[in-house]
Amino acid sequence: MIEIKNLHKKFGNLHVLKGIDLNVAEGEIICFIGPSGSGKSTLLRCINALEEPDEGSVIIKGVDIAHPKTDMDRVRTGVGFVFQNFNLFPHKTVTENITLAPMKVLDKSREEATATAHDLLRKVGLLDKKDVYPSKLSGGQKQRVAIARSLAMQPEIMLFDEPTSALDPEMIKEVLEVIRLLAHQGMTMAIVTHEMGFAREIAHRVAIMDDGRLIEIDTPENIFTNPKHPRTQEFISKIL
Amino acid sequence: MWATILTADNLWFLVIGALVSLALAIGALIIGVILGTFGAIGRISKNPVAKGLSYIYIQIIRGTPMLLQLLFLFLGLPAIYKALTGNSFAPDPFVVGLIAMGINSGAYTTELIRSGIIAVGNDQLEAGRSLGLSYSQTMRFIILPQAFRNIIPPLVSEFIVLIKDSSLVSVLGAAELLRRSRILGTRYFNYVIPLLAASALYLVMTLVISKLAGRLEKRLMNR
Repeated sequence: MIEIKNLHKKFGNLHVLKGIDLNVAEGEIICFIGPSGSGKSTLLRCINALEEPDEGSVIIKGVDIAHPKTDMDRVRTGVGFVFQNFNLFPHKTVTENITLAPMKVLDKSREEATATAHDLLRKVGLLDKKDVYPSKLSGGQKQRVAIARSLAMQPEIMLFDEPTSALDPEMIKEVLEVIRLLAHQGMTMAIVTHEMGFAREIAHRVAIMDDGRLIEIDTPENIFTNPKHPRTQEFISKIL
Repeated sequence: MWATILTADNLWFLVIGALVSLALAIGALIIGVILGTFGAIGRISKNPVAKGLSYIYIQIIRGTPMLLQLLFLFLGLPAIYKALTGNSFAPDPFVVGLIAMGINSGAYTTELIRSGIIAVGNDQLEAGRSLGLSYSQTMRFIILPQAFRNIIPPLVSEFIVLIKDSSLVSVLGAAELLRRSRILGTRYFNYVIPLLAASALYLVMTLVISKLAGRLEKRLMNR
């Protein structure tokens, strides 16, 4: 589903990704953990071409998204992205946030898009908020709307960039609950997270990043109980 | 003295002038916002041609007096047209005034809209693009609506400036408020009263606009 080969990314002199190789299978859930500044978010952003790689390739369902001729808008339609700070559209109601892209990109009618939006809002438990503006929502509610907004494009892959890092502790659970729901439906997901318990529970594989490299990638069992790389051991011992 | 000059007919004569001034300002604001939107998108674009054109536009317009721009369009352009084609045409002062004011306002509005777009931030652009919206769709449906909301106060200032600057069009002979008050002044050999009356009308227009804008802003803030 996702094939990443020798991916490099630099911001000026800063070499953020130093040659990443990774394959993600259909239906697989992979969690990225590691210290801040290790390149987790940048890697995720490269998968959705929010960042342009300097070297290497990112192939999504056979399409190389680093290739200049690739129609990025088409690729992005199939890949949902959930931001740490939600990035809802403040000038649109909850329903309008969700219906905008399906109407403009997938040419759905307003009625159809609205019906889908309300279905999704019901799934994330926020149907009663369908007509309010984002400023009236709590952080956890905003993030659930943001997830619904991504899902409205019927993506085959969902990318989560620290979806709970900007949330108060009591709101983390409700967001993780929604992600868990997607996991049960077999969605292919890549999640950058600091929620170790959640990663352990939900991930098929956990990838440890450090200084722009994937230093270890294994089942959660092995990563958390029997890490091999010394940096992983150090990181795991610090957080557990 | 007041009663002889400020008759109902003369007052009506001035009010029509005020409406002409208002029409000039509204028209120029609309032209300015359209030009300013393209200008701002050009300014932030990665395309060097769009960026360059927009930069030159702003520099020329902001760097020369508006009165000169008015006169150039009214007197200079027809002369150039005649030299090139041999035909002459007499431009309408109102139309030329409107276009010149619009082009002038567009340069200032470009910078306003640009700052409004920057204030919206990259997060919103990324959110739009991540959903599969194109750059122009993201601009149209997400960035620009928020940018305009950010710049309502300075845009209202621009509108008030335009109402006052519309008096410059009197130089071309358009019968707007200032020109009409001078006509009355000449007729009665008294400039004080007609000019004071014109001042009052300018003030009424600008104060009403500030009030309405304040209300609009409050309503949008409540969202």
